[in-house]
Amino acid sequence: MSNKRLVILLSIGLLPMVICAQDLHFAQTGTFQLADPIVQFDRILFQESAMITLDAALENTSIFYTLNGEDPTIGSTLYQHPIVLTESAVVKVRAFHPDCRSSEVVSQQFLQVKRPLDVKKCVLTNQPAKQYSGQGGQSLFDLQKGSLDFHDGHWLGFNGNDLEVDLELKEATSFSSLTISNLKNQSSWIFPIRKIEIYSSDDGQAYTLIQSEEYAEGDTPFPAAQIFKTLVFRPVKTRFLKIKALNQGEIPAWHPGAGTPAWLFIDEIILR
Amino acid sequence: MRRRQFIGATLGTLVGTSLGAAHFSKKRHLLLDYKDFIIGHGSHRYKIDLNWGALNANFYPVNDCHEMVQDTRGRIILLTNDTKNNVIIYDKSGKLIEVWGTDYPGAHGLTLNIENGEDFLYICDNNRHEVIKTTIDGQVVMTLPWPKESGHYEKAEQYIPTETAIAPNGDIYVADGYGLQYIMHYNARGELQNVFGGRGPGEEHFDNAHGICLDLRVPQAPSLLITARQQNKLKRFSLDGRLMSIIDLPGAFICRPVIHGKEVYLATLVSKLPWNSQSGFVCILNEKDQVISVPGGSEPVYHQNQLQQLQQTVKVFQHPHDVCVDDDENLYVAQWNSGKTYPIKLIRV
Repeated sequence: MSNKRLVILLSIGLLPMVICAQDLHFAQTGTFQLADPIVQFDRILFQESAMITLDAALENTSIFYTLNGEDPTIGSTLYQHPIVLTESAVVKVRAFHPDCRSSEVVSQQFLQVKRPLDVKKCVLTNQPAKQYSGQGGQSLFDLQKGSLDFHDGHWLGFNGNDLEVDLELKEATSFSSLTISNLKNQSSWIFPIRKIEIYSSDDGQAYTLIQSEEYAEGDTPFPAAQIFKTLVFRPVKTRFLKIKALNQGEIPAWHPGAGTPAWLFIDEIILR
Repeated sequence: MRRRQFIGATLGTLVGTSLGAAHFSKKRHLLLDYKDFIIGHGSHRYKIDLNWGALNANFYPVNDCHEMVQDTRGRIILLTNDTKNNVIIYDKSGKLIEVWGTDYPGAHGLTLNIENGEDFLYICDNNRHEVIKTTIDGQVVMTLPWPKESGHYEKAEQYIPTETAIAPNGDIYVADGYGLQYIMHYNARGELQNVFGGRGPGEEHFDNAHGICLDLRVPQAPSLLITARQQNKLKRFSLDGRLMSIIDLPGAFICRPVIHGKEVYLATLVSKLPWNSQSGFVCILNEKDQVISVPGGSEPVYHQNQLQQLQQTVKVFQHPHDVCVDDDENLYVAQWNSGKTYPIKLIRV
């Protein structure tokens, strides 16, 4: 083989490598993930309807959503105008862009509550931290949801201790579910509920456990969100209730705040 | 790293083309259709070099990459709170030149000042509760301890300085951004001259006075730009500590202002939306204090002179903590709590 031919062959062989090297010096399209789309709404708890707007703030981004609990794909509904909900639903949202990897799925539950609860008296066993005390125990039953901004005055924040509330209703009422609205925001040291317990009583003195449930999700990091925890049980008719939402206690080892007391944030309790 | 990126990109293409819906079906050929991803807006747009300055972490580890400056020799100096090498010095291509510093466990603020033709560094150490002035190769020249003489502090722990700014006459301003929020004003010998700011409800007060710099863009009217990070504001003060004006940057938890040419550059640790995620971007303001470009974030929009809320749009950055602008107008972004990654370089296009 002549030297000249060898040089030509080598050059042809090297060409794609040179192109690759140039192309890949800088981050390419397809490298980065879109930020989570912004889900904004007028209310999470609603009697009649809730309105939801979605935004990604980047040109050529398309937002797709579902109301059936499935993760959105580009085959789901394309967001074009505000969504109006007239019944409870989980809205799942994901953004897509031709030059980026699709966003994480952002999920928000919306809950229809037809009537507020008739509370005669409610007593908190542990007081929330002064700066996160809302309107005291009443805040838990006013259907006024807090936002992701935990300073907004709707949240009750407990540093290291549990939420425990004793309720006396105006009259005996029948219930078969309990929903507690909880904030998760570990980057602000706010952890989800560890366990929920609900008790009933005939006299407001001796309580019997109706149902309890434990959750393991404090162990791993997750994005900030407002979540509902629901317990369903056999119908109970009662005038006196005790509800406990247990704090994670100590922040787990993986978190920068390991070993210090976790925050627990709760803004609404819904009995249906 | 590059090889991994290449494989990632190829897989991305395969997945991308198989999705196939009309909206995204612009057909891509392997590799050749990929192009450099560009962030920023208008006159300030950038390509991204994710591999800049990456070193063997066994020998040259970083923890948080807090701040960066360029010295008069054109070298890029990084301050990290890993005490194996608090200061890492690179050339502009990201090649390691030297490291020094093992005594700065809370290394946070890094300011370069040229005094009689010589480069000096001012390091704010959060853990030591003091400011240390060194030569460019790390010889300690002066230490400013916690300002007992101010009358505002009872003990060192209350003082957690985050940034310094040096005036042309050598006066030193220190922002106590993680402490009691006062701005300390010293003369060049380190004698306290004045104290202002502090925590409080007024506009002249601060919540997280994280960064400070001298604004000499109008030579006859020098002023200070000081960050109020929790308030998403940049506050302009006179050199004697009077509030002059406020620049609103809604949604942007800004770190320190850095002036280069006519512009102010600000690493933004997180954006308000998506709420408190590992978000963040870079803000660039022109000489009229208007945001003109937001690499990694949403395009700046003004309605009736009000900047609309900024937000992260693409996850390029994770907690950007400082931006250094070099003499080629390229940027280096140092990041806090990003998994011990080395800085990201942005190349202006």
